[in-house]
Amino acid sequence: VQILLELPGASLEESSCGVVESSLRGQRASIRQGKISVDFATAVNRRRRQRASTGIKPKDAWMENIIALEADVVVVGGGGAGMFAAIYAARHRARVILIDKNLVGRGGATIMAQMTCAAALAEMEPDSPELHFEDTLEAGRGLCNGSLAALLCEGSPQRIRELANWRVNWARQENGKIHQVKAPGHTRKRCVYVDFLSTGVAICAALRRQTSKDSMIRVLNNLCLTDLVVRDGEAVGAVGFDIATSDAVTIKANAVILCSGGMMKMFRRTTAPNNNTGDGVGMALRAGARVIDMEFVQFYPNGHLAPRMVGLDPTTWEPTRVKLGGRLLNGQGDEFLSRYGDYGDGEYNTARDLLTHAIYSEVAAGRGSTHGGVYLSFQHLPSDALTAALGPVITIFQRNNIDLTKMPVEVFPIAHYQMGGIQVNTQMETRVRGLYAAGEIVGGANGANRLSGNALPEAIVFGGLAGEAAAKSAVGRPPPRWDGGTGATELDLIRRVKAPAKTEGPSPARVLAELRELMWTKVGAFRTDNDLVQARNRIFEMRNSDLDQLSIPPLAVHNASLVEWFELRNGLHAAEAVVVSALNRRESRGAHQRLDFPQTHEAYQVNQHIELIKGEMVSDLQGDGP
Amino acid sequence: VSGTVYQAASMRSARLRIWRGTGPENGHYDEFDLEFEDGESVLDGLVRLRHGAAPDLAFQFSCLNANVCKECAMRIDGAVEYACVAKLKTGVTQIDPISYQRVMRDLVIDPRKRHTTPS
Repeated sequence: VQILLELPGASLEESSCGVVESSLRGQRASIRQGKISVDFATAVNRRRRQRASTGIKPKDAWMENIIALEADVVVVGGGGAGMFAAIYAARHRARVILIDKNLVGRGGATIMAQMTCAAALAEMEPDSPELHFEDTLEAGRGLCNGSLAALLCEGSPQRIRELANWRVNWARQENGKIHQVKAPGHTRKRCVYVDFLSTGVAICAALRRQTSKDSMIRVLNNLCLTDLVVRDGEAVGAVGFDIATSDAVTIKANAVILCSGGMMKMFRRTTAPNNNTGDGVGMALRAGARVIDMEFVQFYPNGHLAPRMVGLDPTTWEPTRVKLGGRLLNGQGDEFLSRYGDYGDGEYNTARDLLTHAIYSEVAAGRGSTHGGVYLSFQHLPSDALTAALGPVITIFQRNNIDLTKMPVEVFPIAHYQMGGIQVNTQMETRVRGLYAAGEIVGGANGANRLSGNALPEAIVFGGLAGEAAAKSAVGRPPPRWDGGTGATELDLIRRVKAPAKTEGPSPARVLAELRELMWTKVGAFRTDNDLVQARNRIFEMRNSDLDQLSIPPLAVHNASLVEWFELRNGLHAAEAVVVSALNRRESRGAHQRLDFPQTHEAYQVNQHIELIKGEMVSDLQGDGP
Repeated sequence: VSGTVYQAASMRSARLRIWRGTGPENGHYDEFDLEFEDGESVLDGLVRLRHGAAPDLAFQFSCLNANVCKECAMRIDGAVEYACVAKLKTGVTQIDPISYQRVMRDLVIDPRKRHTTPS
C-alpha cells in the first residue's frame, strides 16, 4: 500500500517525532489509495502502537508502509545552514520539507558553536568585507575559491543583523553597538558572539522560532535519508526511513539542498556532534556530484584533553583564549611557541594550522603533558578577570573539579572542521541539476585552512543563498515524476538492510568505532604515504566487504544500528575521499601536513576534485601530481 | 608547570541498571557492569555499552557531552537529568526513561510530548 500525502499549505507547528505524525499533526489527510479515504492519523497511530507493543517488525511488512511526501524543496539537515535555507526558500514561495536525523535546530554543529562568528560590521574599528576577504584568502593558503569566499564575506554582516532582528542577543558595547573581538588570523576586531559561550545556542533558538512559525516549512525530525534520487541527471528527491518506526519514506521534490554538515564524526577525537557522519558527501558522490579538496581537515589546536570534562564542548579553550590569552606550556613548563616561529605579542593570534603543528611537534619530541598533550594555563590571571570573561561557565568547570586559578588544563588538537566538501557554483548548485549544498558540507570557500569565525557565516550565508536559488528553480514546476522504477533501487537497499541479519557479524557501531580510530591514527594532522595506504586499503575493504556482513537487531522502533549502518556507508565514502585526496597531494599546505613531503610546492596550488565512477573514487590529481 | 599536575585517572567500576522495553506493561531491567574513569558521564557509559554489551540499547543524543542539544534527558536514580552531565559513580545507578507512558523503546520517549526538562 503506497500512501500518498498531500502537502497542505496550512500551518504546521514544529513537530518533533516521526515523519508521519509530524506531517499530519492534528489534521486528517486524505489517502489516495484507489478510492478509499481513511483517517490516516488513526491508521498511523494504530500501526505505531502495534509496533511498540512488539518492538519487532513483521518480517515482510516493509512494503506496506511507504510514507510518500512531496515538496518543492527538501532541505536535508536542520542546523544553521539548513534552517536558513528553509527560511529563504519559503520566503521565495517554496513549499519546504526540512529534515533532521535528530531534531531540527538541536542536532548538527551550529548549536555547538561557542563563540566567534566573523562579520565585517565595523562596529569596533574600521573594517570592510574586502578586508575580511583578504584575511580569508591569506588563511586559505592559495586554495580558496574566490567567488565563494567573497559571497561569504559580503553576506555575513547582513545575516548578523537579520539574526539580531530575530532576537539573537549579540554581546554589545556600552554604546549599544555590537561588540567584536579579534580572533586568530583576522586583522581586525571582527568576530561577534553571544555570552557566555552561547553563540550557537542563541542562533539555533532564533532559527527554530522562525522555522516553526513559517507555514511553508514542514519540519520532520528523526528522519534518516539514505539516498538522493536522480533521474536523467537531475535530482528529483530522496528516500530514507522514519527512525521512530523504520518505515520507508520517499520525498519527491524539484530541488534538494544538502546541509547535513561535515564528516568529523569519522575521527575518534572530534568536536563534532554525533550526527556529522559525512552523510551529505556520501549521498552527493553517489548521485554524481563532485567533491573538492577533501584532504583539508581542520584540527582544532586547543581541544580539551584532560581532566575529563563533561557538560561543555571540548572547543571551549579557544574562545577562552580569544578573551584571556592564556599560556601554552610543554610538559617541562616552558613556553614553546617561539620555537615554531611564533613570538606572539601577548595576544592569542596564532593561526590554527601553525598551532596544531607546534603542539604535535612538542609532544612528538617527548615534551608532552601527562596525557600526551600540552598544558594551557590561566594561573597568571586574577580570578576576577576569569569570572568576568567566563561568567557562569566557571560553575561548569567547578563541577568538573577544574579551578583555573590553581591548575592548568591539558589540550591537544582535535578534528574539528571539513574545509573541503561538495563542489558548488555561486548559486550553491552542484553539477547535478536540482541538487544544492550549503554550510560545512560545501568545499572551496576556506581553501586549505579555515579562518576562525568563518564557519557560522558559511552556514548562514550559504544556507540563505541555496534556499533562494533552489526555490527560484523549483517553484511553479510540476512535481517530478517517479515512474519507470525511479527510486526503486534506493528503496530496495533500505529493505535489504532492514531484513533480519543472516550473519553473526559485528554491529555497525563497532565498525564505526574502528573506522574512527583508523582515521585518527592514520589520517590525522600529520600524514605519511605508508599510513594513508593502510587506511585506504582497510576502508576499501570495509566498504566492499564488512558493510555486507554486519548484524542489525530486528527492531523497528528507534533502531540505532539501522541508522548507523547508513552512517557507516556514507562515512566510508567520505573517509575514502579524504584518504585518496591526502595521498595524491604530495606536499604540505595548510591543514594537510605530510611528514614525507614537508614543503609547499607551487605546482600543487590547485584544487583537487573527486568523483565516484562505477564505485571507484577518481581524482583529477593522480599520478605524480600536477 | 605549577599547581596540580594530573595523574592518569584511576579506573572504577559501575553497575548500570537500565530499563528496557517498549511500553508501561512491557519492560524490565538489564544490569551491566562498566569500568569507568573518574569524571566520565552517564552518556559516556551508555555509548560504551552500545559498542559492546548492549548494541540494541535505544537512547538519543546529538552533541555528546556539550549539554546544548538537550536530547539526552532521562531519569537517573529517580531524578530527571541530562545523561551528558550526570557523572558515573561506583555502585548501582538506575536509569529509566523520563516517562513510561511516553516511552517508545528503552530510554527514548516520544518527544512530541516531552515537557519535562531537568531543572
